[in-house]
Amino acid sequence: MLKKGMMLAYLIGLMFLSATGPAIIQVNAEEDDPVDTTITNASYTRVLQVWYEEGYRDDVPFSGVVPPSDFNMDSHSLVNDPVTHDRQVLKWEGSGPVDIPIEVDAAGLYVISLAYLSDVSTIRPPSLNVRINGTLPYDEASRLVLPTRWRSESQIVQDRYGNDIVPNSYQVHTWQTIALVDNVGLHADPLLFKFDEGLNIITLGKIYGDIFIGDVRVDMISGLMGYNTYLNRYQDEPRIQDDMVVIGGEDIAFKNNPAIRSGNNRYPSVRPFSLMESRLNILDGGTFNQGRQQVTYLVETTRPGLYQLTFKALQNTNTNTRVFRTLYLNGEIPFAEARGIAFDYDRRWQNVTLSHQGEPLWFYLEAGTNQVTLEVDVSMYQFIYQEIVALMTAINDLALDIQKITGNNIDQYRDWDISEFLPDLQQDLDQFYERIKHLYDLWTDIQGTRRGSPVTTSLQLAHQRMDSLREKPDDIPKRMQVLSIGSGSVLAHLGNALPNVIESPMSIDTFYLHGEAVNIPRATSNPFVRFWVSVQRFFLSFFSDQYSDAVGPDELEIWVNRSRLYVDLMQQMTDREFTPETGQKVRISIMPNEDKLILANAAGAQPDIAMGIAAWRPYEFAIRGALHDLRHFEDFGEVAAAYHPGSFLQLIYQEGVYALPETQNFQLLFYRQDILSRLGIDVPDTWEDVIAILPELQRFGMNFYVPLASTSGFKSFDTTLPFINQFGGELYTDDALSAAYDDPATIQAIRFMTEIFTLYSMPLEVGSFYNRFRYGNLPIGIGDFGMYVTLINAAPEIAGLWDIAVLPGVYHPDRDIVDRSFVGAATVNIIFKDSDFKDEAWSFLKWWSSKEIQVRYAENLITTYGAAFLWNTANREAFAEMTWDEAHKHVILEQWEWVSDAPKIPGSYMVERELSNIWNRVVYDGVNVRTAIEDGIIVANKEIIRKMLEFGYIDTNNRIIKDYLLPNRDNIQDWMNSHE
Amino acid sequence: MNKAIPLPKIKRSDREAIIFLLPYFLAFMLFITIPVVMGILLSVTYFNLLQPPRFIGFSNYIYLFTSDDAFMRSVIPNTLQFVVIVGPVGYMLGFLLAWMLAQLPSKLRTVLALVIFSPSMTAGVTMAVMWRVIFSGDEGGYLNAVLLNMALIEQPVQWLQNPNFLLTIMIIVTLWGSMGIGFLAMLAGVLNVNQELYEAAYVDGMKNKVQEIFYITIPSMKPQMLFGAVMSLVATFNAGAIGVQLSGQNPTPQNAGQLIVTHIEDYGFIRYDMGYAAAIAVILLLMVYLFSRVAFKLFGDRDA
Repeated sequence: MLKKGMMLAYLIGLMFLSATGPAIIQVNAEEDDPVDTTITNASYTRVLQVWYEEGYRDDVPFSGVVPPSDFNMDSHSLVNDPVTHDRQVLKWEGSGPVDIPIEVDAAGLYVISLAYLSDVSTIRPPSLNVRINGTLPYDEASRLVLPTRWRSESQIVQDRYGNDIVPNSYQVHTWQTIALVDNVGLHADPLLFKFDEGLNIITLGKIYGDIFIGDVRVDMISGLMGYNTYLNRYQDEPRIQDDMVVIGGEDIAFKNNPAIRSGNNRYPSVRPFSLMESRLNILDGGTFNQGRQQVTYLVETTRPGLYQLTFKALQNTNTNTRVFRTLYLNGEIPFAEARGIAFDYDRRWQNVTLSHQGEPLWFYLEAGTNQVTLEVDVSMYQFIYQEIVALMTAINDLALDIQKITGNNIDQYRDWDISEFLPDLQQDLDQFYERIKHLYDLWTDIQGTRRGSPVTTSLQLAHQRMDSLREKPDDIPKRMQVLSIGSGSVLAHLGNALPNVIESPMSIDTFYLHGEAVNIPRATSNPFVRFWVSVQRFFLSFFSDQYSDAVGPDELEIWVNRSRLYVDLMQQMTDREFTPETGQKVRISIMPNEDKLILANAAGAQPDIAMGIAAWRPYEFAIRGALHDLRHFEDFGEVAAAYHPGSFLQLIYQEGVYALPETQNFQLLFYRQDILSRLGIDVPDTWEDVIAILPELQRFGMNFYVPLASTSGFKSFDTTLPFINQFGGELYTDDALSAAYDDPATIQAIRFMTEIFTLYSMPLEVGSFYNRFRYGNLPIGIGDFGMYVTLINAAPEIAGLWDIAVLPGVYHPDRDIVDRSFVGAATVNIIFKDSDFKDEAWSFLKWWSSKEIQVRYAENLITTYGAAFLWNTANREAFAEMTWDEAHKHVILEQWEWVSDAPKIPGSYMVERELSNIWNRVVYDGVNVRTAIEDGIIVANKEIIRKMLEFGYIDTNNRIIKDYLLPNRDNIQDWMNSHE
Repeated sequence: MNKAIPLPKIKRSDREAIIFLLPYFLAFMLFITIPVVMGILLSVTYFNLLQPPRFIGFSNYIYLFTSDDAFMRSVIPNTLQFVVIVGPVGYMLGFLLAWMLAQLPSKLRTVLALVIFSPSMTAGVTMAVMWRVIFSGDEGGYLNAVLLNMALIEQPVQWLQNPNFLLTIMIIVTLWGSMGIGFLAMLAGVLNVNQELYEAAYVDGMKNKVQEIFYITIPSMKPQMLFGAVMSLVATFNAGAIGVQLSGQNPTPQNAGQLIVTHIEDYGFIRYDMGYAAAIAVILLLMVYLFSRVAFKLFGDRDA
């Protein structure tokens, strides 16, 4: 019993720790052994402290090099250096580890550096873990990223209105040498590793990415000189007086992350300035905000000497928050004071001359080309960050102790004497209270102001809540939602503060390398200039081409319902490839609202093609004769073969197909590996499995999420239809004149959909599955593509701890398969019937949806705008070639086989609505499923009959005039094949 | 509603009068008369927005009154309940607040008037976002959090999805935002009452503030009262979108918060049945007209 309790405490503590901290447990199949898990609490800071206490020193002079020829490996081979060809390097392909033996003169703490050449073509950088003599020394060593180097195309292309287009980035494959550092950037110095005297083995384990490895070095950590020493060293060099070199923040020579990019700022003092066109004129701070991100500029100086540096910078996003940057000159930090240079919050642009204690700093530069590198430095916030993580762990442990005593369902009318069971409770709460207060003080000390910032708000709220808790500790069992559950708890507020602590955005317009006698241009422009510029902009906007919708006589007109970033890139690729190939000019415009299509069509001003249209809409247009049937094109079958038949289901009306899928949504099962494996729960394969694991989850206050529990009151087909399809139910009767809720399998599905809430207590309304997945109280559930992108990009604290699987389904013994159907409609492309360029439009669509172009578009999006711009093309062949995580891609492709959208009939929206109402009535009003279904059928049928009458399928006496063809997967399959 | 503003009597030469009248006349034609006539014309057609309208006589009206279950069962009762509560209560509240503000010193009054007026200036969507946080259905919603804290409920209540609560919440939210133009007009009206009347009345034996309101204030500000009443009616009939914004869908769950305006939107833009939507709009127009006649009966100047 005791053992079980301890395990329980341990695993829940673990789940929250890993959910919040930088600590990453690497969950590789072969490494998922007890050794890894027992050190989860061993943060670098703590381990280092222990080492120092044990008498290990970091100042033992030593330097050792191990060439690749001395590595011990199983299956990896030495090859010629692919760049210089003059030496042997390790080509590390498979996943097996590499052992590196090194003789160390004296025991001590040393830095490991590594020469490497990235061989990955994806945006994901290579990463590895490090063991010394067989053990992982601390959490941070379990995932170390080797940054890749990126360069942007120097040629800035402009669109047809003269706006700059953000250039693409490409990877520069070059040898780099880095000392191993932590990923988040909390530790300013490289990581120290403990080596014993004599032979030591460094084991590098691969997490991701093929790399070449050159020499591995083990050195004493090299300290930085102080500024005074630096000045003394260069005291004979001239201090520059009148020279000034101006470098634009947008002219990035290279960067260590493709997401960093230039951007546009329309403030009049920003250079280059343009009244109407958008110019790339700044380094976009929103993309330069994570620890360890670096940008490098090349600066030409005409004479050697000591220079000053001034940045024209803008940090107006994180209110009253200081951000820090570290400066490198030619790859080295020149002196200790160049670390952690503070930039204050200001609503306007400001000139910041790098200085120390009020005196401008001097930097020595030779004549010629110099590299100036700026790195996002978050090490100032190390203690605060780690303390928040520690607090969250402690609060969770306490919450679990309380839950163990009280059980999960707490009777609000029972009084608890919880202090009897937990004598330290009051003391613990007081201590938490003081620690949060301390955090607040530390934070405001760093900021130099007590004004409100996102972090102070969260800390103050956590503080208040903790205060209210400690006053009446015995009420805590009834007030768990204040302590640890839910979005307003102390825990949640601390969790909110955590990412904000280390988020450090700062935009740069220009920086000046200058002498002391130079006057730097003002950073702000005066109010009259600002006013005059906005007046001009207002009046010029009446004449700007950008806002007119006139199209040339032979131009193909395309409206796209996406943001400018997507459209710019589309236009660029079209102008560069499609127009030269075919001679057809194409004009792509942004359509902010799809409803505009209806009005444009009524006015006869519709485009030739509309793209990015919600997948339910083409049917409504087609049935009213506004769209062109794509089956009229000879090669429709070939083009359609790249898509899944299930994606066409709602694009069919009678014999015609009226749209081509563009993007595809997915429903996937997301789960927290760490939590499930500690609970001993297997990933469920069927809904029966899900029901079976619910009691275990709920015992720990956790649950399972289904999209039916989203906040929208309307349960669309996306959330309801998958159940019906999985149970093998029907939506309509065969003659398409009635809803078929009373189909036996459909009844079963509806009963199941409601019982998971009424009987099995799944949460009925979940504000954000994403957040509760991160907090760990909904460790498993069904999410979509958007959730996938967010988790990959915005949840670094659980990176590597979650995974995706195919949806749980319904087992059909007769066919021996598990039906995992889902609704995956996202967006589609349509051609209008009144278009004069139907063939041209079709050839454009064919070109655009071809595998090559889709793959290229997806890659361009990522390298231009960053990893958040994942393109979920509906073209299966293109998707299979995209540079996504291979394992995830495999799962998605498997799930994709089950896509089955809702076929449409006239009035089918009523079938969707009534299904939602049936669910609502059963769940909220407790109505009997049968009764709700009977009522629902009457309402839905009435609308179907009305619409069937409207479109001439039946007459007023309900006699069938012509048959309605109910779309199914088979007929689309036939159409695809018939053209081949 | 197009008769709400009494025009001044014209005595001078017709030509000058026409010139002065022209701008208003044109604007009224363009933005009120023509759309209303178009709406009435469309209501006797089948029009799906994509194809040209087709004349079908009174079928839309016949369907509306004989077969549209949602309209008769939910929309009309909801709308009447909504209008009868929000209209008069909002109106009385407006008058009461205006009268109370008038008792305050002018600086404080200006600030408070702005505070009370501001919700009606806020766009509906922004308002809905705020209220959705308050009524959110998980334990993070403010109302749920407070009630859970006070141990009045054990499970979070899905305020906005549960059909039993939606209409009530819509009424509360609309009342909160109903202190609009009518309220300002009434404030001006209260301030405009001749102070000498009060003094005279006190000399004549008036005893308290309540008598003051009923014998002096209200009779002296009939035009503003009428204006406020009409504005409040029109605004209430048109304030249907709030249910859709709160519940995040049109139609609202089980039609619990379905009002005429949202019903029109549903048919016009979701079901592509603009002719039918126009017919409902005509009914709405008639209802508004009917109610504003009642307001005229109550507050209209019988002497004029």
